[in-house]
Amino acid sequence: MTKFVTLTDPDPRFTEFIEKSNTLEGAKLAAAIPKEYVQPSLARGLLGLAASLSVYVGAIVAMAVLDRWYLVVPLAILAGLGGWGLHCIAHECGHGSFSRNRRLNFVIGHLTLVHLLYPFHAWRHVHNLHHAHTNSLELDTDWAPIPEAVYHRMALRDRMIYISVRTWAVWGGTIHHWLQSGLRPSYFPKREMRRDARRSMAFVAVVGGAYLATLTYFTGWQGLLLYFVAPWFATHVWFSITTLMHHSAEDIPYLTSEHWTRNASKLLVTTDFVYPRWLLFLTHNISLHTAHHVSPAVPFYHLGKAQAALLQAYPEMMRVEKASARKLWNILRNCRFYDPVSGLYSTRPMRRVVPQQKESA
Amino acid sequence: MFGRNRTATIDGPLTHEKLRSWLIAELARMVKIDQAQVDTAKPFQAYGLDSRAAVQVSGALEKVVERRLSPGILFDHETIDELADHLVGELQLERG
Repeated sequence: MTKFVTLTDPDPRFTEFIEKSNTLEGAKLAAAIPKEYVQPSLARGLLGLAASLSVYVGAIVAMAVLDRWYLVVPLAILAGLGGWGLHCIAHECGHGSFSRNRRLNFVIGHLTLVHLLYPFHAWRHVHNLHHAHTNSLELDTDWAPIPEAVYHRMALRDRMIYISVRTWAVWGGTIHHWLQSGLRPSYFPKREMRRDARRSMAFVAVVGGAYLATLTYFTGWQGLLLYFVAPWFATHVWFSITTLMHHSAEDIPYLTSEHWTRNASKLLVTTDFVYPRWLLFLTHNISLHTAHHVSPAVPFYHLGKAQAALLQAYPEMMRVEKASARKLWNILRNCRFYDPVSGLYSTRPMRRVVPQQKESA
Repeated sequence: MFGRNRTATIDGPLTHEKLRSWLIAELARMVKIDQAQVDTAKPFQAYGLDSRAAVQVSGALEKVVERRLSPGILFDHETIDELADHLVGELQLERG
Protein backbone atom coordinates (compact mmCIF):
# COMPACT_ATOMS: atom_id res chain seq x y z
CA MET A 1 0.00 0.00 0.00
CA THR A 2 2.91 2.35 0.59
CA LYS A 3 3.22 2.73 -3.19
CA PHE A 4 0.28 5.11 -2.94
CA VAL A 5 1.49 7.05 0.05
CA THR A 6 4.76 8.74 -0.79
CA LEU A 7 4.04 12.11 0.80
CA THR A 8 4.35 14.87 -1.75
CA ASP A 9 3.55 17.86 0.47
CA PRO A 10 3.61 16.94 4.17
CA ASP A 11 1.29 19.01 6.36
CA PRO A 12 3.18 21.13 8.96
CA ARG A 13 1.27 19.21 11.67
CA PHE A 14 2.58 15.95 10.25
CA THR A 15 6.13 17.32 10.21
CA GLU A 16 5.72 18.47 13.83
CA PHE A 17 4.47 15.00 14.74
CA ILE A 18 7.53 13.37 13.18
CA GLU A 19 9.83 15.77 15.05
CA LYS A 20 8.16 14.83 18.33
CA SER A 21 8.37 11.17 17.38
CA ASN A 22 12.12 11.51 16.75
CA THR A 23 12.69 13.01 20.20
CA LEU A 24 11.17 9.87 21.75
CA GLU A 25 13.73 7.55 20.17
CA GLY A 26 15.15 5.21 22.79
CA ALA A 27 12.93 6.58 25.59
CA LYS A 28 11.62 4.08 28.15
CA LEU A 29 8.09 5.44 28.41
CA ALA A 30 6.75 2.89 30.87
CA ALA A 31 9.45 3.88 33.38
CA ALA A 32 7.51 7.14 33.93
CA ILE A 33 4.68 5.13 35.53
CA PRO A 34 5.44 4.02 39.10
CA LYS A 35 5.49 0.24 39.51
CA GLU A 36 2.79 0.25 42.18
CA TYR A 37 0.24 1.40 39.60
CA VAL A 38 0.60 -1.92 37.81
CA GLN A 39 -0.59 -3.92 40.85
CA PRO A 40 -4.11 -5.30 40.35
CA SER A 41 -6.66 -5.44 43.15
CA LEU A 42 -9.21 -8.20 42.61
CA ALA A 43 -11.69 -6.51 44.97
CA ARG A 44 -11.63 -3.27 42.96
CA GLY A 45 -11.92 -5.20 39.73
CA LEU A 46 -14.94 -7.10 41.06
CA LEU A 47 -16.50 -3.83 42.25
CA GLY A 48 -16.18 -2.44 38.71
CA LEU A 49 -17.70 -5.62 37.33
CA ALA A 50 -20.61 -5.41 39.81
CA ALA A 51 -21.27 -1.76 38.90
CA SER A 52 -21.47 -2.45 35.17
CA LEU A 53 -23.47 -5.63 35.59
CA SER A 54 -25.95 -3.77 37.81
CA VAL A 55 -26.39 -1.02 35.22
CA TYR A 56 -26.82 -3.53 32.39
CA VAL A 57 -29.23 -5.86 34.19
CA GLY A 58 -30.97 -3.01 36.04
CA ALA A 59 -31.79 -1.15 32.83
CA ILE A 60 -33.16 -4.31 31.21
CA VAL A 61 -35.25 -5.20 34.26
CA ALA A 62 -36.55 -1.61 34.40
CA MET A 63 -37.53 -1.91 30.74
CA ALA A 64 -39.52 -5.06 31.51
CA VAL A 65 -41.11 -3.88 34.76
CA LEU A 66 -41.98 -0.31 33.80
CA ASP A 67 -43.13 -1.34 30.31
CA ARG A 68 -43.43 2.21 28.91
CA TRP A 69 -42.65 2.70 25.23
CA TYR A 70 -41.08 6.12 25.84
CA LEU A 71 -38.58 4.63 28.28
CA VAL A 72 -37.29 2.01 25.87
CA VAL A 73 -34.68 4.19 24.16
CA PRO A 74 -33.22 5.84 27.30
CA LEU A 75 -33.12 2.51 29.10
CA ALA A 76 -31.50 0.80 26.09
CA ILE A 77 -28.82 3.52 26.07
CA LEU A 78 -28.30 2.95 29.79
CA ALA A 79 -28.11 -0.82 29.25
CA GLY A 80 -25.61 -0.09 26.48
CA LEU A 81 -23.50 1.89 28.93
CA GLY A 82 -23.59 -1.07 31.32
CA GLY A 83 -22.74 -3.39 28.44
CA TRP A 84 -19.84 -1.15 27.41
CA GLY A 85 -18.64 -1.18 31.03
CA LEU A 86 -18.73 -4.98 30.95
CA HIS A 87 -16.62 -4.88 27.80
CA CYS A 88 -14.16 -2.61 29.59
CA ILE A 89 -13.86 -5.27 32.31
CA ALA A 90 -13.19 -7.89 29.61
CA HIS A 91 -10.56 -5.47 28.29
CA GLU A 92 -8.87 -5.58 31.72
CA CYS A 93 -8.99 -9.38 31.61
CA GLY A 94 -7.47 -9.41 28.13
CA HIS A 95 -4.49 -7.41 29.38
CA GLY A 96 -4.14 -9.45 32.57
CA SER A 97 -4.84 -6.39 34.72
CA PHE A 98 -8.08 -7.67 36.29
CA SER A 99 -6.29 -10.28 38.36
CA ARG A 100 -2.92 -11.98 38.61
CA ASN A 101 -4.67 -15.27 37.92
CA ARG A 102 -4.62 -15.93 34.18
CA ARG A 103 -7.41 -18.50 34.34
CA LEU A 104 -9.68 -16.16 36.30
CA ASN A 105 -8.98 -13.41 33.77
CA PHE A 106 -10.03 -15.74 30.97
CA VAL A 107 -13.20 -16.91 32.75
CA ILE A 108 -14.34 -13.37 33.60
CA GLY A 109 -13.30 -12.19 30.13
CA HIS A 110 -15.48 -14.80 28.44
CA LEU A 111 -18.47 -14.05 30.70
CA THR A 112 -18.27 -10.28 30.28
CA LEU A 113 -18.38 -10.51 26.49
CA VAL A 114 -21.31 -12.93 26.21
CA HIS A 115 -23.84 -10.07 26.05
CA LEU A 116 -22.10 -9.00 22.82
CA LEU A 117 -21.72 -12.59 21.55
CA TYR A 118 -18.04 -11.65 21.24
CA PRO A 119 -15.58 -14.57 21.51
CA PHE A 120 -13.11 -13.40 24.15
CA HIS A 121 -9.89 -14.83 22.74
CA ALA A 122 -10.66 -13.57 19.24
CA TRP A 123 -11.19 -10.11 20.68
CA ARG A 124 -8.07 -10.43 22.89
CA HIS A 125 -5.81 -11.42 20.01
CA VAL A 126 -7.08 -8.75 17.64
CA HIS A 127 -6.78 -6.18 20.41
CA ASN A 128 -3.17 -7.20 21.03
CA LEU A 129 -2.51 -6.72 17.31
CA HIS A 130 -3.98 -3.23 17.66
CA HIS A 131 -1.61 -2.51 20.56
CA ALA A 132 1.38 -3.86 18.62
CA HIS A 133 0.58 -1.72 15.57
CA THR A 134 -1.36 1.32 16.84
CA ASN A 135 -1.89 3.82 14.02
CA SER A 136 0.22 1.85 11.57
CA LEU A 137 -1.42 2.55 8.23
CA GLU A 138 -0.85 -0.98 7.00
CA LEU A 139 -1.08 -3.08 10.16
CA ASP A 140 -3.43 -1.51 12.71
CA THR A 141 -6.58 -3.59 13.07
CA ASP A 142 -8.81 -0.72 14.27
CA TRP A 143 -10.13 2.18 12.19
CA ALA A 144 -7.10 2.48 9.87
CA PRO A 145 -8.03 4.74 6.94
CA ILE A 146 -7.20 3.98 3.33
CA PRO A 147 -6.16 6.36 0.53
CA GLU A 148 -9.10 7.58 -1.51
CA ALA A 149 -7.54 6.14 -4.67
CA VAL A 150 -7.63 2.67 -3.08
CA TYR A 151 -11.24 3.26 -1.98
CA HIS A 152 -12.33 3.89 -5.55
CA ARG A 153 -10.84 0.56 -6.64
CA MET A 154 -12.70 -1.44 -3.99
CA ALA A 155 -15.81 -3.51 -4.65
CA LEU A 156 -19.12 -1.63 -4.18
CA ARG A 157 -20.04 -3.60 -1.04
CA ASP A 158 -16.66 -2.84 0.59
CA ARG A 159 -16.93 0.84 -0.35
CA MET A 160 -20.41 1.04 1.18
CA ILE A 161 -19.23 -0.51 4.43
CA TYR A 162 -16.08 1.61 4.59
CA ILE A 163 -17.77 4.96 4.07
CA SER A 164 -20.85 4.10 6.17
CA VAL A 165 -18.97 3.20 9.34
CA ARG A 166 -16.97 6.41 9.03
CA THR A 167 -20.05 8.58 8.64
CA TRP A 168 -23.74 7.93 9.36
CA ALA A 169 -23.29 4.33 10.55
CA VAL A 170 -20.38 4.88 12.91
CA TRP A 171 -22.22 2.62 15.39
CA GLY A 172 -21.58 -0.25 12.99
CA GLY A 173 -17.79 0.03 13.12
CA THR A 174 -17.33 -2.48 15.90
CA ILE A 175 -20.13 -4.69 14.55
CA HIS A 176 -18.21 -4.92 11.28
CA HIS A 177 -15.01 -5.56 13.20
CA TRP A 178 -16.76 -8.34 15.14
CA LEU A 179 -17.89 -10.00 11.90
CA GLN A 180 -14.44 -9.62 10.32
CA SER A 181 -12.23 -10.77 13.17
CA GLY A 182 -14.35 -11.93 16.09
CA LEU A 183 -16.18 -14.65 14.21
CA ARG A 184 -13.46 -15.58 11.71
CA PRO A 185 -10.51 -17.53 13.11
CA SER A 186 -8.79 -17.39 9.71
CA TYR A 187 -8.23 -13.67 10.38
CA PHE A 188 -5.32 -14.53 12.67
CA PRO A 189 -1.78 -15.25 11.47
CA LYS A 190 -0.82 -17.72 14.22
CA ARG A 191 -2.15 -21.23 14.62
CA GLU A 192 -2.57 -20.84 18.41
CA MET A 193 -4.59 -17.66 17.90
CA ARG A 194 -6.93 -19.49 15.53
CA ARG A 195 -7.30 -22.36 18.01
CA ASP A 196 -8.07 -19.93 20.88
CA ALA A 197 -10.58 -18.06 18.73
CA ARG A 198 -12.39 -21.30 17.82
CA ARG A 199 -12.62 -22.28 21.50
CA SER A 200 -14.10 -18.93 22.44
CA MET A 201 -16.54 -19.17 19.55
CA ALA A 202 -17.69 -22.55 20.89
CA PHE A 203 -18.18 -20.96 24.32
CA VAL A 204 -20.28 -18.16 22.84
CA ALA A 205 -22.31 -20.64 20.80
CA VAL A 206 -23.13 -22.73 23.89
CA VAL A 207 -23.52 -20.08 26.63
CA GLY A 208 -24.77 -17.25 24.43
CA GLY A 209 -27.06 -19.63 22.55
CA ALA A 210 -28.54 -20.98 25.80
CA TYR A 211 -29.08 -17.43 27.10
CA LEU A 212 -30.83 -16.30 23.94
CA ALA A 213 -32.97 -19.46 23.77
CA THR A 214 -34.05 -19.01 27.40
CA LEU A 215 -34.75 -15.32 26.94
CA THR A 216 -36.82 -15.98 23.81
CA TYR A 217 -38.69 -18.85 25.48
CA PHE A 218 -39.81 -16.68 28.41
CA THR A 219 -40.23 -13.28 26.75
CA GLY A 220 -40.86 -14.08 23.08
CA TRP A 221 -39.41 -12.33 20.04
CA GLN A 222 -40.30 -8.92 21.44
CA GLY A 223 -38.33 -9.75 24.58
CA LEU A 224 -35.35 -10.89 22.51
CA LEU A 225 -35.45 -7.59 20.65
CA LEU A 226 -35.90 -5.37 23.72
CA TYR A 227 -33.77 -7.18 26.27
CA PHE A 228 -30.95 -8.44 24.07
CA VAL A 229 -30.75 -6.82 20.63
CA ALA A 230 -31.39 -3.23 21.81
CA PRO A 231 -28.71 -3.35 24.57
CA TRP A 232 -26.35 -5.18 22.17
CA PHE A 233 -26.78 -2.44 19.62
CA ALA A 234 -26.46 0.35 22.21
CA THR A 235 -23.27 -1.23 23.56
CA HIS A 236 -21.81 -1.17 20.04
CA VAL A 237 -22.68 2.54 19.77
CA TRP A 238 -20.53 3.24 22.87
CA PHE A 239 -17.89 0.75 21.69
CA SER A 240 -17.58 2.21 18.18
CA ILE A 241 -17.58 5.87 19.13
CA THR A 242 -15.09 5.41 21.97
CA THR A 243 -12.59 3.37 19.97
CA LEU A 244 -12.86 5.67 16.95
CA MET A 245 -12.17 8.74 19.08
CA HIS A 246 -9.20 7.20 20.90
CA HIS A 247 -6.77 7.39 17.97
CA SER A 248 -8.44 9.54 15.32
CA ALA A 249 -8.17 13.31 14.91
CA GLU A 250 -7.45 15.61 11.99
CA ASP A 251 -3.87 16.09 13.19
CA ILE A 252 -3.11 12.54 14.39
CA PRO A 253 -1.63 10.56 11.52
CA TYR A 254 -1.76 6.91 10.64
CA LEU A 255 1.82 6.18 9.64
CA THR A 256 3.51 4.14 6.95
CA SER A 257 6.25 1.78 8.10
CA GLU A 258 8.99 4.31 7.31
CA HIS A 259 7.54 6.78 9.85
CA TRP A 260 5.89 4.47 12.40
CA THR A 261 7.76 3.98 15.68
CA ARG A 262 6.78 1.98 18.74
CA ASN A 263 7.19 4.89 21.16
CA ALA A 264 5.16 7.33 19.07
CA SER A 265 2.44 4.69 18.71
CA LYS A 266 2.20 4.50 22.49
CA LEU A 267 2.40 8.17 23.42
CA LEU A 268 1.55 10.44 20.49
CA VAL A 269 -1.41 8.96 18.65
CA THR A 270 -3.97 8.85 21.44
CA THR A 271 -6.31 11.49 22.84
CA ASP A 272 -7.30 11.20 26.50
CA PHE A 273 -10.89 12.38 26.84
CA VAL A 274 -12.09 13.87 30.09
CA TYR A 275 -15.58 12.62 30.91
CA PRO A 276 -17.77 13.63 33.86
CA ARG A 277 -16.74 11.63 36.96
CA TRP A 278 -19.80 9.36 36.92
CA LEU A 279 -19.10 8.43 33.30
CA LEU A 280 -15.43 7.81 34.00
CA PHE A 281 -16.56 5.46 36.79
CA LEU A 282 -19.04 3.56 34.62
CA THR A 283 -16.64 3.25 31.68
CA HIS A 284 -13.77 2.26 33.96
CA ASN A 285 -11.53 5.14 32.85
CA ILE A 286 -11.29 3.71 29.34
CA SER A 287 -11.00 7.26 27.96
CA LEU A 288 -7.75 7.86 29.90
CA HIS A 289 -6.11 5.90 27.19
CA THR A 290 -2.53 7.05 26.65
CA ALA A 291 -1.28 5.56 29.92
CA HIS A 292 -3.03 2.33 28.94
CA HIS A 293 -1.08 2.21 25.67
CA VAL A 294 2.18 2.99 27.41
CA SER A 295 1.59 0.30 30.01
CA PRO A 296 -1.39 -1.97 29.23
CA ALA A 297 -1.00 -3.79 32.55
CA VAL A 298 -2.16 -0.72 34.56
CA PRO A 299 -5.61 -1.57 36.02
CA PHE A 300 -8.42 0.87 35.30
CA TYR A 301 -8.52 2.29 38.84
CA HIS A 302 -4.87 3.44 38.57
CA LEU A 303 -5.17 5.03 35.13
CA GLY A 304 -5.83 8.54 36.50
CA LYS A 305 -2.62 8.46 38.55
CA ALA A 306 -0.68 6.84 35.70
CA GLN A 307 -1.91 9.59 33.37
CA ALA A 308 -0.73 12.24 35.86
CA ALA A 309 2.71 10.61 36.06
CA LEU A 310 3.01 10.52 32.28
CA LEU A 311 1.88 14.13 31.98
CA GLN A 312 4.60 15.13 34.39
CA ALA A 313 7.25 13.22 32.42
CA TYR A 314 6.02 14.19 28.92
CA PRO A 315 4.00 17.41 29.33
CA GLU A 316 4.30 18.48 25.69
CA MET A 317 3.55 15.09 24.22
CA MET A 318 0.13 14.09 25.55
CA ARG A 319 -3.30 15.18 24.37
CA VAL A 320 -5.93 15.60 27.07
CA GLU A 321 -9.21 17.08 25.91
CA LYS A 322 -12.76 17.41 27.11
CA ALA A 323 -15.05 14.98 25.32
CA SER A 324 -17.70 16.62 23.15
CA ALA A 325 -20.08 15.79 20.33
CA ARG A 326 -18.27 18.38 18.22
CA LYS A 327 -15.03 16.38 18.39
CA LEU A 328 -16.86 13.30 17.15
CA TRP A 329 -18.48 15.36 14.39
CA ASN A 330 -15.04 16.64 13.30
CA ILE A 331 -13.75 13.09 13.00
CA LEU A 332 -16.79 11.91 11.04
CA ARG A 333 -16.61 14.96 8.79
CA ASN A 334 -12.88 15.13 8.17
CA CYS A 335 -11.19 11.82 8.92
CA ARG A 336 -12.44 9.55 6.18
CA PHE A 337 -9.45 8.86 3.94
CA TYR A 338 -5.71 8.77 4.36
CA ASP A 339 -4.18 11.63 2.45
CA PRO A 340 -1.00 10.66 0.58
CA VAL A 341 -0.23 14.33 0.01
CA SER A 342 -0.23 15.68 3.57
CA GLY A 343 0.26 12.48 5.59
CA LEU A 344 -2.94 13.25 7.53
CA TYR A 345 -6.52 12.94 6.27
CA SER A 346 -8.07 14.07 3.01
CA THR A 347 -9.31 17.58 3.53
CA ARG A 348 -11.93 17.38 0.81
CA PRO A 349 -13.94 14.31 1.75
CA MET A 350 -15.76 12.39 -0.94
CA ARG A 351 -14.09 14.29 -3.74
CA ARG A 352 -13.90 12.32 -6.91
CA VAL A 353 -10.35 11.33 -7.81
CA VAL A 354 -9.19 10.00 -11.12
CA PRO A 355 -8.30 6.34 -10.55
CA GLN A 356 -4.64 5.61 -11.10
CA GLN A 357 -3.56 3.59 -14.07
CA LYS A 358 -4.04 -0.13 -13.80
CA GLU A 359 -0.30 -0.81 -13.71
CA SER A 360 -0.10 0.87 -10.29
CA ALA A 361 -3.02 -1.19 -8.87
CA MET B 1 -10.87 -31.32 -0.07
CA PHE B 2 -13.39 -31.86 -2.91
CA GLY B 3 -10.64 -31.22 -5.46
CA ARG B 4 -10.12 -27.62 -4.36
CA ASN B 5 -6.84 -26.03 -5.27
CA ARG B 6 -5.48 -25.38 -1.77
CA THR B 7 -2.72 -23.12 -0.53
CA ALA B 8 0.52 -25.02 0.07
CA THR B 9 1.84 -25.39 3.60
CA ILE B 10 5.40 -25.42 4.92
CA ASP B 11 6.65 -28.20 7.17
CA GLY B 12 9.49 -27.67 9.60
CA PRO B 13 11.41 -24.46 10.28
CA LEU B 14 10.96 -21.63 7.84
CA THR B 15 13.98 -20.86 5.66
CA HIS B 16 14.63 -18.52 2.76
CA GLU B 17 14.43 -21.40 0.28
CA LYS B 18 11.18 -22.77 1.70
CA LEU B 19 9.63 -19.32 1.65
CA ARG B 20 10.73 -18.79 -1.94
CA SER B 21 9.34 -22.18 -2.95
CA TRP B 22 6.04 -21.39 -1.22
CA LEU B 23 5.78 -18.09 -3.08
CA ILE B 24 6.46 -19.85 -6.39
CA ALA B 25 3.79 -22.47 -5.67
CA GLU B 26 1.27 -19.87 -4.49
CA LEU B 27 1.81 -17.60 -7.48
CA ALA B 28 1.53 -20.54 -9.86
CA ARG B 29 -1.70 -21.60 -8.13
CA MET B 30 -3.20 -18.10 -8.22
CA VAL B 31 -2.48 -17.43 -11.89
CA LYS B 32 -2.96 -21.08 -12.93
CA ILE B 33 0.43 -21.75 -14.52
CA ASP B 34 3.05 -24.42 -14.01
CA GLN B 35 5.57 -23.72 -11.24
CA ALA B 36 8.41 -24.19 -13.76
CA GLN B 37 7.08 -21.17 -15.66
CA VAL B 38 7.48 -18.84 -12.68
CA ASP B 39 10.35 -16.38 -12.98
CA THR B 40 11.23 -15.17 -9.48
CA ALA B 41 12.67 -11.91 -10.83
CA LYS B 42 9.52 -11.01 -12.76
CA PRO B 43 7.06 -8.53 -11.14
CA PHE B 44 3.84 -10.02 -9.75
CA GLN B 45 1.77 -7.69 -11.89
CA ALA B 46 3.39 -9.06 -15.03
CA TYR B 47 1.61 -12.34 -14.23
CA GLY B 48 -1.72 -10.52 -14.23
CA LEU B 49 -2.07 -10.76 -10.46
CA ASP B 50 -4.70 -8.14 -9.62
CA SER B 51 -4.89 -6.26 -6.33
CA ARG B 52 -7.58 -8.54 -4.88
CA ALA B 53 -5.47 -11.65 -5.57
CA ALA B 54 -2.38 -9.88 -4.19
CA VAL B 55 -4.23 -9.22 -0.93
CA GLN B 56 -5.27 -12.89 -0.83
CA VAL B 57 -1.65 -13.98 -1.24
CA SER B 58 -0.59 -11.63 1.56
CA GLY B 59 -3.33 -13.10 3.79
CA ALA B 60 -2.10 -16.65 3.09
CA LEU B 61 1.50 -15.53 3.59
CA GLU B 62 0.60 -14.20 7.07
CA LYS B 63 -0.21 -17.75 8.12
CA VAL B 64 3.08 -19.05 6.75
CA VAL B 65 5.22 -16.46 8.53
CA GLU B 66 2.81 -16.27 11.50
CA ARG B 67 2.75 -12.50 11.74
CA ARG B 68 0.55 -9.69 10.52
CA LEU B 69 1.63 -8.30 7.16
CA SER B 70 0.61 -5.29 5.14
CA PRO B 71 -2.13 -6.23 2.64
CA GLY B 72 -0.04 -4.32 0.12
CA ILE B 73 3.22 -6.17 0.70
CA LEU B 74 3.22 -7.53 -2.86
CA PHE B 75 3.12 -3.95 -4.14
CA ASP B 76 6.03 -2.91 -1.95
CA HIS B 77 8.17 -5.90 -2.91
CA GLU B 78 7.28 -6.59 -6.49
CA THR B 79 9.01 -9.89 -7.22
CA ILE B 80 9.35 -13.20 -5.43
CA ASP B 81 13.07 -12.59 -4.96
CA GLU B 82 12.51 -9.13 -3.46
CA LEU B 83 9.70 -10.30 -1.20
CA ALA B 84 11.58 -13.37 0.03
CA ASP B 85 14.68 -11.26 0.73
CA HIS B 86 12.61 -8.71 2.63
CA LEU B 87 10.91 -11.36 4.78
CA VAL B 88 14.18 -13.14 5.49
CA GLY B 89 15.53 -9.87 6.86
CA GLU B 90 12.37 -9.10 8.85
CA LEU B 91 12.06 -12.58 10.30
CA GLN B 92 15.81 -13.16 10.61
CA LEU B 93 15.58 -16.47 8.79
CA GLU B 94 18.36 -18.72 7.59
CA ARG B 95 19.33 -18.39 3.97
CA GLY B 96 19.38 -22.14 3.55
